[in-house]
Amino acid sequence: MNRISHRRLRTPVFALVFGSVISTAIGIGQSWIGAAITYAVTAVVAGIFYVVGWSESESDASAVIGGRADERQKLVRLRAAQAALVTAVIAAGIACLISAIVKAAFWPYEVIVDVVVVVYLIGLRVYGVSFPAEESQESSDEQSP
Amino acid sequence: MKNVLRELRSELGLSQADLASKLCVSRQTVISLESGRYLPSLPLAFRIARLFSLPIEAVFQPDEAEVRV
Repeated sequence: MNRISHRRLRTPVFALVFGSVISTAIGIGQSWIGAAITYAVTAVVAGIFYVVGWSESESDASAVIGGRADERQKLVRLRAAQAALVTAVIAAGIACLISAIVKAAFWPYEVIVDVVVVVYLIGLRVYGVSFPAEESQESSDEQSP
Repeated sequence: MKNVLRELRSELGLSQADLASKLCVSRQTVISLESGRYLPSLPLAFRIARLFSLPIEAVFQPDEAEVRV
């Protein structure tokens, strides 16, 4: 029961922590009014995740956010994450382009794109099978009874 | 890939929710399976076949183009 509760809390807690870190950074580096707005947005988003995840709704969104997804819903989550990631990379690329044109600092966007590309390549290496060796006929004959 | 999941479920008098509960999946997944929108993993396909005491190919029939070698 506790484990299920923890899984249901994972997404809202992550949103709360991540949003709070960003809000605090805005407060320290820029203005505390901006930080207050970001804190409020964070609280609303975390609240929505909490309500959706804990609802007894049969929806896929509730199951995914609430950490009780079955195999099809995990696929739905994967596709949604893929779409979100592709959108984020395209947005970062466009932001990088605009920043370069208006002579603003573009390195943060460039870092996002670079990190995603590197992680993508590492992912291909880690999750894929690299340099598969053809099983020889002799070794397969030896293994067979 | 075609399947006779809906017919088999009806024969046993199970609701979609009952079947979902027995297979440890959501009702939406049962709906998706019955409509052919979702192809189950092998473990789930075996669970379905065992539940109805049938071989897997009696529940799921691939289209000819899918199995042509």
